[in-house]
Amino acid sequence: MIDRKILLIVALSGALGLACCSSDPEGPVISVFTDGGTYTPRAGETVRYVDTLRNVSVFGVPTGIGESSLLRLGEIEGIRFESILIKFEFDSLEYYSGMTVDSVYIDFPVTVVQNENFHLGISFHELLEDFSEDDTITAEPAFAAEQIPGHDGETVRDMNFEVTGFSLDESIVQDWIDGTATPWQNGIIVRWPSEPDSMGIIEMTSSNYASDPPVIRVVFADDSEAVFAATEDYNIASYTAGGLACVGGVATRIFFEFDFDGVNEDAMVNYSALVLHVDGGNGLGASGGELLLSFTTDFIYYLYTPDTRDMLDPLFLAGTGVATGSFVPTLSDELRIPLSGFTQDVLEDLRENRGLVFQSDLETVRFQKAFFFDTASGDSLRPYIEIIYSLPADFTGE
Amino acid sequence: MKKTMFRISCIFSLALIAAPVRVEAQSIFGLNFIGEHCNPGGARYSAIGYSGIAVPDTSDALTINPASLAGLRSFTFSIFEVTSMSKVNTIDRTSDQTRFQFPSAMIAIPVSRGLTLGIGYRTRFAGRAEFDRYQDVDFTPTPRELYKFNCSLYSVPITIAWMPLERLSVSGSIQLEKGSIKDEVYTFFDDTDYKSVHSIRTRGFSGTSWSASALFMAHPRLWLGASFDDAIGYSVEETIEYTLDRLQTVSRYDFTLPAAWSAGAGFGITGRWWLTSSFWMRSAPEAAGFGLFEGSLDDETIVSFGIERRAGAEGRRWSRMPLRMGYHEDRWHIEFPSGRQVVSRFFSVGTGFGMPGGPGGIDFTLEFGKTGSVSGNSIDEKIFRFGLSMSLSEKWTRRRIERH
Repeated sequence: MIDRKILLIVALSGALGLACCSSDPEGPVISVFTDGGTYTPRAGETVRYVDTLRNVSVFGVPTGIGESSLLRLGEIEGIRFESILIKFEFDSLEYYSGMTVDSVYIDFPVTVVQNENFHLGISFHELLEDFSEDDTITAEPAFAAEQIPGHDGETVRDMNFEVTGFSLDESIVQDWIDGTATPWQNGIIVRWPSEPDSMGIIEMTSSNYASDPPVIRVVFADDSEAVFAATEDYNIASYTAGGLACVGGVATRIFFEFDFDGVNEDAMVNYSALVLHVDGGNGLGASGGELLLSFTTDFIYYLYTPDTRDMLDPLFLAGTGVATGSFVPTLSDELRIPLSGFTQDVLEDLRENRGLVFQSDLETVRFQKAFFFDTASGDSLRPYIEIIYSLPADFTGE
Repeated sequence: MKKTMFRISCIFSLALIAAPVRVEAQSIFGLNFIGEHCNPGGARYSAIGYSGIAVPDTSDALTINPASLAGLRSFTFSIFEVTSMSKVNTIDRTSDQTRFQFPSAMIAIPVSRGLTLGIGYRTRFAGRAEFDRYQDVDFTPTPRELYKFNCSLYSVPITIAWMPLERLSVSGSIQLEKGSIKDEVYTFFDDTDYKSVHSIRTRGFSGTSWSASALFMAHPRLWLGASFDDAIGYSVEETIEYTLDRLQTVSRYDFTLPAAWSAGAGFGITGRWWLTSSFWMRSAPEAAGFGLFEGSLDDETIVSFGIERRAGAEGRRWSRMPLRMGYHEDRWHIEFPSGRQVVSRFFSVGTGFGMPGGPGGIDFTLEFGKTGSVSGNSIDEKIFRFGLSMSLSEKWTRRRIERH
């Protein structure tokens, strides 16, 4: 009996052992049957198709950032910070009734100046129109032509690395205290009336930062002080440099138009991507002030297919998301944005080809810029859509 | 005893389940046409080269000749599994393969003396392969093609076997014929950012057929057997699915597998030593659905011989054990290339013993052979098969030793 059991165990072990032996790949020997042989299924050809894009255009979207932590003056990477609107809180003025104003200063909490030599001539004007941080402001609102003078009557002040506070004519505040004039109800505008010798940027914290906003500091004759802090501020900016740029905060977006006429109608898409080449030398991930606040340098993008082809239609500014992702806009590199599902749907007419729009996903939050080589660049750098697709297998053997 | 039987059955079943680490068909030639022809019968019949059309068995339900079921005296369950190792050769390449065949199984229920009902499962044709290769393209990453072939045409025979005379047994079967041939083609990339796309052709076969067989004892030392397996009129539904749903196609056609017949004899040299032989044949089928084989399909024939020293009740243990040897030559339906019929030749040996502690038995077979030839077919496969079958039936000691 024991012998039989041993025999049985040996036999079962043998069967198991045999079955567990691994096999070599069959491909090499099976080619006898597959290459012109009797096993007929053949995978369809796999094709790489490049669409060099019918049209690429950059368009602006009215955008403003009202609640930024930083305010800027100057220009960086073509983003021009033209002016700052500031409203101050003057409700406490009545407590200073009867006091004599000795001096008045407006202090800007500057955190970063792009380089030590950069300086900017600025002037202050009373605003004639109200504004709100919730507004989208792309142009300067009406302001008084007359500049707000300084202690010595100066109208244009030189702002630089060392000088960030400026005197104001003390009679202005004295009149407010005496009740003979009304404080700036709409606030003031700080602007630079002429182009500097060289361009740079000055950054300061705003009223939206946790502390240290712009203030008007009043020193009275008895050496006591009053401080009137900014309650709302707004940075008006524009983008003027052109090129194939997607800019946040301003904002510009890029519209890609294409057709897939050269793609086989039975294409089964393995891979598809919008391929862009980043020109890192013209990009902006984060300004110096943002780096101090530990902001990321990544450019977060959003790619969508618009709800209409008509660029003048507001529906053009929204649509169905296709991809999102991030990259560092200051590093020159190839950016591949996957489109596989979108491309297959377009090829199958499951969705209308209305092109693709590339935008900063933080365009209402951050001033960032991604700059790409345009269609005039060489084949290796120009934008294009790449599609890798396979054709259906052939089972007929013909 | 029942506990021991249960344990043995569990071990056997686990081995069958665990064994197919890579489940494949018997032969790489099964990639073609409707696969490789799988012979009926268990390990005992395999060991005598499938020459047992005239060999009855009173403890095994997996027989070549279903009329043998009429001789069963108790409920019998039989199962048979084959594992094979092979070396495939072409002119300049070699590949080692390990393969496993889905088990065949049969249950036989004697309803009265000489009248038995049976039902089972057996694979008629099988084939399986999986291979891939790189496409020749001028871009990266390079696409790869993956091919998976899975063919299994199986039969579920519902059999009645009757012994109207002491010398004669007959049987008739209604057979449910089902199965499919599936070709899967994938284009994929090593880079996971690239999606795989597929094209899958599934040919579903369904039909019914009947068969009849007879076993006749002309003399206590001379048995004759014959069987007829009617043509199978398969209805084939061919579906081709792609990654793109709109490309899917469905078509239907008929495929007929012609009738097969077999005849043979068993001659007892002594009470224990028997010579067996049989001949099996099926006419060439039409190439419907397999256009590439138009004009390249022949009659399939199997010629087989065997010698068996049957189990004995006396003497030492080893002298009581059965010993079997056999040879068979199978000339396949297919020609590869056209005009060059594929031929298999196998030598086999085997033995068996009673189930420890219970009724039934376990049989082994070892087959050594070759299919195809490099000179004639551009490819050959040298094959070693290990077959193991188990039957739970009447107790071994009650077995009528003159038959086994």
